Amino acid sequence: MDDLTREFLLESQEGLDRMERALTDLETRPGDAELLADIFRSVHTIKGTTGFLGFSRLESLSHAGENLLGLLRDGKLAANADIISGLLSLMDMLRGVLRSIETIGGEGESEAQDGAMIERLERLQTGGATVAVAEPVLAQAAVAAPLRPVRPHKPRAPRKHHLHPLPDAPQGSPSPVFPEEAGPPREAEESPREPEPEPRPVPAVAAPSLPARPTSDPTGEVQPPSSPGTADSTLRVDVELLNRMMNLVGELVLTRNQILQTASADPGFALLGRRLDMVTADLRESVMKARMQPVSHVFSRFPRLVRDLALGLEKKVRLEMEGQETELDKSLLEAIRDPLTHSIRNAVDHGIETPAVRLAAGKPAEGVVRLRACHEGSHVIVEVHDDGAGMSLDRIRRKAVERQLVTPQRAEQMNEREILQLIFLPGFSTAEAVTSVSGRGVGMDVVRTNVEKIGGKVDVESHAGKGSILRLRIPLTLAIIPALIVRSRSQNFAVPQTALTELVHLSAGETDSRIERLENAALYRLRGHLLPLVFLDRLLQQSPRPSDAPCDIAILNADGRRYGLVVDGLADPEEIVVKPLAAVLREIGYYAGATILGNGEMALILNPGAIAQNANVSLSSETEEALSGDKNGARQDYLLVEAGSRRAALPLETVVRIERITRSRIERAGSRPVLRFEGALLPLDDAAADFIDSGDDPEAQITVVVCRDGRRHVGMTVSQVLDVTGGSQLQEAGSGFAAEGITLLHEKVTSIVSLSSIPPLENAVDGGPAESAFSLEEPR
Amino acid sequence: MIETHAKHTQEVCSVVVGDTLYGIPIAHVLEILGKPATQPVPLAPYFVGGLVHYRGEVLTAVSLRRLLGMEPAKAPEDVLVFENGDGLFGLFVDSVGEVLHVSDTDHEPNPATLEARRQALFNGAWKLKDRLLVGLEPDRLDPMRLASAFRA
Repeated sequence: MDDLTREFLLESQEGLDRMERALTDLETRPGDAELLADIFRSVHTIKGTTGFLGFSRLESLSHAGENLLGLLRDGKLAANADIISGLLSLMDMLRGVLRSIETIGGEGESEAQDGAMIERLERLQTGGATVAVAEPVLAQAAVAAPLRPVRPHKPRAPRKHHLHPLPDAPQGSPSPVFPEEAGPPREAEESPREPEPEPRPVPAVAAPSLPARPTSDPTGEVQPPSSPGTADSTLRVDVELLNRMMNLVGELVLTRNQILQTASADPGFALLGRRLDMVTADLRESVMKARMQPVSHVFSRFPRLVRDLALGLEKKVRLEMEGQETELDKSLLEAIRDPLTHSIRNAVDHGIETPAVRLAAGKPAEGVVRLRACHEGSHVIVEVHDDGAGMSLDRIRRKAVERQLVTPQRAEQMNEREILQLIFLPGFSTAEAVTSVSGRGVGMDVVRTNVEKIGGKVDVESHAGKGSILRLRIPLTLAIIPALIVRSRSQNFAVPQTALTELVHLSAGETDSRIERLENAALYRLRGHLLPLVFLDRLLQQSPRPSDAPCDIAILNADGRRYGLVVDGLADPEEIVVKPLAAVLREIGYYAGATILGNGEMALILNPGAIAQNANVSLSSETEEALSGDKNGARQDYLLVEAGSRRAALPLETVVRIERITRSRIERAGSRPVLRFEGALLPLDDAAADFIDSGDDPEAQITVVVCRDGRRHVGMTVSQVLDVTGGSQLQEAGSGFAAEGITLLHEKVTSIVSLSSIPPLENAVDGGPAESAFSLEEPR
Repeated sequence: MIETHAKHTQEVCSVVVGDTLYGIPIAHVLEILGKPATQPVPLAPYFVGGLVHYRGEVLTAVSLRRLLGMEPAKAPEDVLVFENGDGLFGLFVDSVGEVLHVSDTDHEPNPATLEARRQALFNGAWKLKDRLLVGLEPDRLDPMRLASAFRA
């Protein structure tokens, strides 16, 4: 059985369980709209999925039930005992078919019984019901029908067996209509719930018409217990309980950290501590895993959505889905359900053009909406890609001005990226007409709010004539995020790593000179660009820091807003467990939560986006610059270093990481200076040999830039890393040939280090261990 | 308050803030944290004393001193943990004393002369032998409620 079917069975069985409870409740509260809606949903869900999976029996049965329930839900029919027992026997029948799918892999054939059941339900819809308003019900039912989307199975409904009424089932009595294959496991499944309805006091009014519970088997046979099915091997756990477990695990992690920090002379204690450490890590992973579900849970309903939307809009749309097995924390999965639905609606409604327009544009008549999920580091990326017309920047600009979301002047100055961001503003909609699908001005802002609420990001990309891509970046888990701990006025704050791009340290003498001012705005010149600065101490109205004190600048990128957050100092990065804050503190806006650090101290988690907004940091145009930079091709970024007394350039894309090591770690393998690094040998440049031979302090720190050269990694010892900067290609005068091995950095001709000049280790064969051991995780 | 014939007694947890003795019905007190580590929250409403760590949760704790407009405490404070509608919150007090048995018959409502803010916070007082025990109710100290009541 494939996963989808198993999933469907599990879901449907739960739906039916819920429906059974709700139906029995309905007997005591016949008018309860919520109950009816709940039952309707259960049946509706089954129907929706079966159509997709091609279970026609289930589909026609549930369709009949849904029609009846629709009338009940809309108040056009009042529930009575007849109807309830009819629905309950329908439920039993559905359950039988589900069981048959699970055991024999197919629905089985039982036309006569299906027909009888459908006929019975139809009779209940009209004449069979003992409600006073029989006439209007009929009329309304007839009117209601065409409103439903056209379903392919409709023509199948009037079958010949409609002529055969139920054998001799009097109205209101439990109907023994169970398909043969449905028989065996039914009782086994229901018996545990049996005692539940018994003691409930039944109101006097309902009593006379109350039929015997349809769950009591008329034949009274005892069936052998079935082998454990899908429903038995998995267990539904309350999310609350999982949250609590997560909390306790967080607590345990903390206790573990404290124990590990407690020094003890007893070697046994250290051993125990390590064991505790391992078990805790395992436990944490298991609990986190228990909260994971594949995105297919959410994706599975989209084929139907796209199909219905396309039909309604008279478009041809195909939905392609990729990466359905990608797993995500349960609560996050729930949180992206609505944003994704909105995005897909948008893609079909606004993105994909009508077949005529598409053909005219030279595209196939059928549009494609591609839904893709994949892992990227500690995030899951979900992309909604459509091959439609793309977004018209002019139209977005016009609409935004029309709706007074921006001033015309501001709109003129905006770059492409900023304009695209406008669609996320509340009240923005470009749909010319309000359709049933979209154009009511809600949508993208809801998408963004919901995604940001869970610490995710939304990004949009549009290519005129080719379509647009909406990208949701969702953290893997809500509960634990990587963060950098910063300190401001002796207080800890956590900055989510997702927003962090780089760190700059200013020592005591530098702060005054390196931080520039334009009126009141503090700026830092980062590789030639001015970056707005936000001082955390001032923002939070803490006691001010002396202006010449050393500080660190955390360069943050929050939804395209780049700025530097000035803090007193940095502590270690840490995986933090996010704890929610009370509403009174959430209102402050700058805090996304709180956390307890490994050392037992608490820290407030900063919300980089809110801080940027408050400081009026505008969207950065860097991505655009990067694009234009790509176009002329001649520019490349280099890491500018000082090696010995010379300046040299290393192509930035080859740089894997920069390590500070003690001098004594450089060793010699044969004649080569090497560094043992992450369990493998890293060949170093020739100059490194000087560090071994010189008699300096063996504990002195030196800097090694680890670079990628083809498939191997090599190390370059440098005395200082100066900057990252773009270099331009130089050409030989006259010939115009590109000069190799040199580039122009900061208006100075600088030689580019040739990594291949570092010879391979003498005894390393090509593709040997030295290389593979260095397959460090590639950034991105 | 309606007087009943039955002499109704209850247990209250006594706490000291400044020179005043306060009493909180013990049934409301979830736990008492002795001088826990606290974390101030910059920009928080004035009555928030800070955050305290309680069983894996981070609680917002109200400072009775700040609420009453008193000087900040010089020594570490104790925290009482209460439950409100949607979670837990804490209350900073100078120190927690013993549990006292008090009788409803000894209870008097707030005097009319009491300053308005204190009127809203205090729930009368019990007459002890040698001093007054000012009644506090966790409901009135709920940070959310305080935020809407004292938004200024």
